[in-house]
Amino acid sequence: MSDYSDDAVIARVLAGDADAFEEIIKRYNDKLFRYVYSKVNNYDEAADVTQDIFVMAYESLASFRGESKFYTWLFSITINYCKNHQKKSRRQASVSINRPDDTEFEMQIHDERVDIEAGVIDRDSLRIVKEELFKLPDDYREILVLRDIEGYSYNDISSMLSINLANVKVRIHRGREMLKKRLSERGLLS
Amino acid sequence: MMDHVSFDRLSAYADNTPLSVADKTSIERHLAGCASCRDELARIRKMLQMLSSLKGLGLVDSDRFVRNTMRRISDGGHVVHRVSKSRAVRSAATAAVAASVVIAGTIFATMGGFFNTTGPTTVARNEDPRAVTVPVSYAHNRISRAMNVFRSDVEKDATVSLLERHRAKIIAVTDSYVEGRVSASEFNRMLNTFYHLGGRRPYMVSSDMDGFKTVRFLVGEPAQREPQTSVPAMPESDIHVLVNFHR
Repeated sequence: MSDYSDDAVIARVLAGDADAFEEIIKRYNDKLFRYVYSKVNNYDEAADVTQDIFVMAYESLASFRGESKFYTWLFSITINYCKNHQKKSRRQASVSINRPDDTEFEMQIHDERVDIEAGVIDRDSLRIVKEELFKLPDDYREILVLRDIEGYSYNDISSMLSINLANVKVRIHRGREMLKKRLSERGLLS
Repeated sequence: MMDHVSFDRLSAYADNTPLSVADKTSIERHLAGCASCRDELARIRKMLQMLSSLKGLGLVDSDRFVRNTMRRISDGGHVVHRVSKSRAVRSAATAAVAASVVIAGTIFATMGGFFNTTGPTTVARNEDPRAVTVPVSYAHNRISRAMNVFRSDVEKDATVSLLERHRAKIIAVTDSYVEGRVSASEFNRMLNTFYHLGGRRPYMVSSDMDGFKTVRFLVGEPAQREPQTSVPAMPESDIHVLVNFHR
């Protein structure tokens, strides 16, 4: 199943092989989770929301007509879901004075992946990058996650966010400029 | 004095965004003679490398997440897990909602489930003399909420847009609902798109004698649609409504 294209897996699911959807979850759980986490900044909440999104994607799979790439469709759902979730959270925040930072998340970086990067970037630097990324305005943080962490193309991002290509470029470069300034101030880019 | 390359152009150059040949040549020519811009480019590339390393962030137990999500899908969407760190405190309300889901599920099972296509029709006339209206049960509304059918918010405009796409006549748009009248055939097509709008089903459906249906979607604040902690007793006539409502 891992050799199948997304479309082939979806076709199997739609043909009645519900278990095939597991392959989709395996392929995209970390990607969706990272995006959601960048929105909610809380591990448990991000995991729950990510699960909600997969369930919703499964239930609405019949509406995916293959006119776009599956992952742009999936991310569109994710982005809209997160927008609604944030609206709801903001309302609830009025009764929650403060939410503790999710300080444990930095410990949850996959060890093997850190090892890969160990020779280049240490864990402290990653923590600072994450901190500063999360301080960026939502629009810039979101687009840097999609482009510079997940590696999606400008065109894909344009589809996912439903904004034009020029706007994508502007946001990416502005976001990078802001982040570079912040990381320089933290001594990471000297 | 030599003009430096703008940040935007260096940023585009750094991540291999397709540039025109002339632009790329111009940047490279400048870089060859400008240490300041080369340093800036190096900083951008280092930042991009660090950002890329954040791919290491992910779910702690991915396999468990996959298993639990599949279990939730097969269980019909109920939350059955925490992925890793269980939250220390669960509100009593959450537990009560879970209990109500069980109760609701039991009632549903007794009644033959969502997709029972048979069952008597309970009818009552509304203001349209041609209409035969299926009454909306209070109990059904409560059960739907408890079952978390109205899982996510959908903007009012999106709901109107959905109805219009199905050639519905918009009857009412209020702060709490959008109502429209749609042909039976379009209504059936629309059934396939409900989930695309966040898993919602229409709050009310009335079947008119001329083959049209009146549908109503809740669009109010989510706080108004919070799952209820109890399911009220359901009159027998409302059971008929529920069966009717879903097909």
